[in-house]
Amino acid sequence: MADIPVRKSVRSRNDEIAAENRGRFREAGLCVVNMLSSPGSGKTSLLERTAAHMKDRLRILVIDGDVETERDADRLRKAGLEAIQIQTHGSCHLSAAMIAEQIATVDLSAYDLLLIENIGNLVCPSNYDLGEARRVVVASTTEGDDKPIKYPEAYHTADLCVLNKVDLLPYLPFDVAAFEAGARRAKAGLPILQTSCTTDSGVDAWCRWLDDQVRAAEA
Amino acid sequence: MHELSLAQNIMEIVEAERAEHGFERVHEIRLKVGALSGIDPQALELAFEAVREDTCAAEATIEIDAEPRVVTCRRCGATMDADPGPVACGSCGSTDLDLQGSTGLDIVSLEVD
Ligand SMILES: Nc1nc2c(ncn2[C@@H]2O[C@H](COP(=O)(O)OP(=O)(O)O)[C@@H](O)[C@H]2O)c(=O)[nH]1
Ligand SMILES: [Mg+2]
Ligand SMILES: [Zn+2]
Repeated sequence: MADIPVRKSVRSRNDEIAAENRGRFREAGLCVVNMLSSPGSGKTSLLERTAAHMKDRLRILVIDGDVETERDADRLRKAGLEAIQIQTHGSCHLSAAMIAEQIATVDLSAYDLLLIENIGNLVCPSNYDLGEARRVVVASTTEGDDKPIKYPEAYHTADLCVLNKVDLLPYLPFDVAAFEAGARRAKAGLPILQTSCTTDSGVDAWCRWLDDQVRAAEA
Repeated sequence: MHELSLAQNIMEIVEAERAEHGFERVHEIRLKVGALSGIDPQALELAFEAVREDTCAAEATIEIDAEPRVVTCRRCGATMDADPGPVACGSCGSTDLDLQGSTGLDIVSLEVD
């Protein structure tokens, strides 16, 4: 019997591919944002709103992850965005290799911003680096204010939290202060924006945040 | 869930170590699981049982060193168990809490012959 020290991350293969993706994004000056959330919190809706605000002044590409179907990419094409659909056929997260396969034949320098809609799941995607510059967790008021306590992983690794469906706040027992405390328990000082995709409230602040990230990527 | 693909990743690393060190069999795989790694240790062990068949690790067990989930109070520094998740500090009542932990999932070592 012998003991062999290994000290290697089980996700090291994903991390290597993510580093290659990140290199390509950096070379192209492309800003990449990875969006995480539970199913139904409004990622696709927020992307539709983003299109309405930004598509005339920014060249935006979306990679949309879903377990099955092409529905979300179709919605985004209707909204005027270029969208690539990844169907993971059961896998609960996008991996760096899935992104690498999609971008292999894409001229990345033709875009300013790549938005990645990850699979609706708050746990697994947070452990898979895709090579993104920024990570956003999209929560919604209908999910309850305790989600950051129950699923801290996504919040812990996020650079921004969007709290969506705030138009429904008057009808829900949702404590915004408790939600924010929970999110910042997982990540100190996490910035939180409130949005509604039905009233468009807060979408301008979200777009300003995206603008800032795009400028940082170009610099 | 993705425990199956993680179990496959573990097997790939074990095979790479075997190519390098040339052992016959693996008896134990020691893992360190971070508190924020999103891993269910039991699901991972089950998934590993499925992928270890007909490999050098066919009889290997997985030994998991799970990092405890701990919350500290940013105001008074008190430390508490993060599960199920206190919303306020037990000592001073502050809601300004900080969840500690790593997102890592590492193979620490292998026991082989
Ligand atoms: N009331 C309200 N409903 C919303 C809002 N954003 C999205 N929805 C609805 O929530 C559902 C799920 O939205 P979708 O964008 O598909 O979520 P995704 O699974 O995260 O992509 C749809 O029925 C949307 O119309 C919002 O701000 N307010
Ligand atoms: Mg969607
Ligand atoms: Zn305290």
